[in-house]
Amino acid sequence: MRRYILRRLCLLPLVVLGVTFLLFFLTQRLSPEMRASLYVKDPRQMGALEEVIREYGLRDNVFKQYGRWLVQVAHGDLGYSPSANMPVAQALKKYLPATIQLAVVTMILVVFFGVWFGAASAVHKDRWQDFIARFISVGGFSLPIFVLGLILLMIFYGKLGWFAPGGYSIQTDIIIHSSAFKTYTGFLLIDSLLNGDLRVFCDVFAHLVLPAVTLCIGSFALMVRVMRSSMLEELNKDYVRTARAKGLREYRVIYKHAGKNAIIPVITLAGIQFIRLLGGTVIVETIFDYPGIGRFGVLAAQQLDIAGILGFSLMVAVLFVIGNLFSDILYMAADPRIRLE
Amino acid sequence: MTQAALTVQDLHLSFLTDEGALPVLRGLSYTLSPGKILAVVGESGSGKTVHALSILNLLPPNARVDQGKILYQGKNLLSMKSSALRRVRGRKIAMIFQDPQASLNPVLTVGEQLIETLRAHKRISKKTARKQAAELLTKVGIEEAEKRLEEYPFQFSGGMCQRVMIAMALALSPDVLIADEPTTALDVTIQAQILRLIKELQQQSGMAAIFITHNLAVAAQVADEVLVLYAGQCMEQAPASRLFSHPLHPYTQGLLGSLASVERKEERLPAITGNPPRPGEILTGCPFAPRCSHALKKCFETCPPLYEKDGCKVRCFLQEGK
Amino acid sequence: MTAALVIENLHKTYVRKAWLGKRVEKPVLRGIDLTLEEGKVLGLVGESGCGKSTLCKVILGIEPITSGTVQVAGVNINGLSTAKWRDLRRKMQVVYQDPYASLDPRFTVRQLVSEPLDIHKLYMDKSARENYLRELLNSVQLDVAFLDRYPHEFSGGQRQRIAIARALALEPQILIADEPVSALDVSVQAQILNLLKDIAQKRQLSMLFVTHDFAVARFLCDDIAVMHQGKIVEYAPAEELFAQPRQAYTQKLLSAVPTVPRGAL
Repeated sequence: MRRYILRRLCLLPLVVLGVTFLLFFLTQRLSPEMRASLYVKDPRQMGALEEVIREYGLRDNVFKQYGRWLVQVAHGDLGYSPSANMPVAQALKKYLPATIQLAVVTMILVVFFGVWFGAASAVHKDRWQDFIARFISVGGFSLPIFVLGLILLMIFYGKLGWFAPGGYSIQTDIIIHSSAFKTYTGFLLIDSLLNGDLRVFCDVFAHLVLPAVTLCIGSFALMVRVMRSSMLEELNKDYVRTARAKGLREYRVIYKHAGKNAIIPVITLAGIQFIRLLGGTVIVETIFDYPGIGRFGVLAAQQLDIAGILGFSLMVAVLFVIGNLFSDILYMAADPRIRLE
Repeated sequence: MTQAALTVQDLHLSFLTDEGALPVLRGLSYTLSPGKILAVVGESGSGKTVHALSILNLLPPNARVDQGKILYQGKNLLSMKSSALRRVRGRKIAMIFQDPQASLNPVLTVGEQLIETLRAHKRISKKTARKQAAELLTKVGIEEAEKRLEEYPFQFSGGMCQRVMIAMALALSPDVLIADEPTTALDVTIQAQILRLIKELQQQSGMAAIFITHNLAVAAQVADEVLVLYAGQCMEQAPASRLFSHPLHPYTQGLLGSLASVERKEERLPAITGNPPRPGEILTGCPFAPRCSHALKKCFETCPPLYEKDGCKVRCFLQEGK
Repeated sequence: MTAALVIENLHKTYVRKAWLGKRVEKPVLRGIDLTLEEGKVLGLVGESGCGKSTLCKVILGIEPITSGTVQVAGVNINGLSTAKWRDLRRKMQVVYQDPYASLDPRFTVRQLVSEPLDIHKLYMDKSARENYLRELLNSVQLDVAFLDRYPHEFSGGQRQRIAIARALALEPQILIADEPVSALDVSVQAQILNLLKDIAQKRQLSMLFVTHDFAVARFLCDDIAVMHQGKIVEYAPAEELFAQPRQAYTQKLLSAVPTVPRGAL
């Protein structure tokens, strides 16, 4: 097991190198002038373009530029992002916690309701519980995420005025940027509680609700399906019959015996979904103007902010490998056959 | 006469399919005497496994009992409330199955599965249950029981898994053990060990057992009495020694005759012609008539009753008036 | 007498190697020497996991050889080209254990049995093909009316007859039978065993008959090889082996076989 984890961690630099080099290579399709233009704010200083190109060595060959970037990264310097108006590292540090926060809340919802609905749906196959779960699942699956997001926004903000999109309220902003507000984890949901400030907590939570629910519906649909079919398969297996023949109570047969086996494929799916949420909640973050990493990535891409894009993809690649490893470890924990082989 | 350990009365059972209800058991009746092993022998589709599952109501959802009773201590198991039936399952009537490795939960340790069986029926602490579980494993011939309680089924061989299943079935000293093809998935050497073990433990505890198999030779090893099932009906039931030495039904004779022998070389096997009826096939007359070399005209028209004589039962017109 | 199949010092080792991981070797066949004489039935008897199925796969070219040689009808199969294999398959055919899995459910009996003929461009004339198919079905005692039906309409025994007909279509010299009766009902096993015996005699087939059942082997086989942990532990003419098993392992297996006490029969 330890050997396996070590092996996977060895893979990490390879993936990161592969992804970033590919992107670096692609950005070379843009001319040096285009790549430099973002650093020149004032149209009257067009002459400075050549200076930027020379300063950053934008005409050097790809490998040289890439090597330079790698050395920089090794020193912890990811460059300056004009689109975010701050160093890339700082931007990532600022936006990533919000996205992780959103992804975690979403995943908790997805796994909890997905497993619950899926299991209930399988246990009560072809009865009303099953039909409701399947209806929601098909509906959630076929509804495009941006349509759903806009509908939710219309109802819960437009009509009811409950959950505002965009940045936090002014009071919250003032509080969290004051020196009295201590940053423990970078996650506002946790930090606000640690600071004992319920008002901030509620505001942060209110901003999370709609994007989390929107994200949840799509992933939830798949989760219900996987859990349902996995549970149906397990309920038909011999060991379930044995458990009943032993005189166990039905809920124990279903949850302890079938459930424990049925959850195994769900873990893999949850891992994949979580990683996807970390790197690609772009649409939802844009709709709700949520200050997360996806929105940062989109802005960077739109504005040809190459340092921003590279930083973003570097981070996604790292998260991807670590997230994958994490879900593999969970998978092993759930299945002794894999853990002990 | 002592009370029967289990009585099956006129059991009719069918599978619900898209083509309607297909009958698999058509009026099966028998009595299991206490302390005896009854082997139920039949080919695939004869209804032998379904009948076993019906005793503890473990039938798949598409199976339906149409008629009949299964009596245990005067109570009909088929009409029992699920909470009452649960107290019979595992404690009074226990079961072991064909594929021992698949019959154990792959993600729970052997210990957990044994302990939960004990604790489902007895108010004992985990510690006590654990001790008993280890004793049970030792009893079925598994060494280093303490250590093996921590292991998972995939770390056991097929034969060892079946031993665990037997330990689990015997955990609460049941009155009746139902063994559904317990050695079919195992190699012959392991099969011999498991058969010996079952027989030994059965004699020690004095429980009764229903032993379901398709293998006549296996039935001959363990059974006191044999019931031959064909197309959901009992064709012949007799004490084992009698059935193997003087089979009365042409089907039983045919089955015994068609077995290849390890003791001598035959030039030709006297095979039964034709194929067994498909489950649920609508049959008039004796189900075996189309394959029977002694078939009379009336065999195709009406199904013979079970003729009873000297403790043997035979469903064949050839026994009429004998 | 010439040999249909000669296996010399055959080894087969499965190797699993993960990236940066440990190399795990699992020897399955450990030095097999075996000869199938022409026109004889050789029984390969062993318990599950002894390597008998792997041996079949190697002989059929499904698994590559680790070391040693296998000669089928005088041809060394190691590194044989696809075209050469196609020629060889005319001489060697196989019947598998599970007739429910070995017949494609979307094909009719006609298509199933015709397929090998189409591949080898035999009996391409329509009436000749029809006659040949009828002859084949007759030889496995199946009704010719079954030609246009699908496998799911048949019982296990009938399916196994279809599988045998397909194997015989190319008139092979060698038949590999991998547990062909162990999935069948007791009352049907005897029919198929008789059929295989008839066919082997009538067609002068050399047959490698793989089984775990000594009784079945005794009925059908001329010679018997007992396999254990990837090795042949005993190899003798059948009657000799049953009269006087030499190896302790063979004795142990034989004594474990349950038997029916035979009375009046």
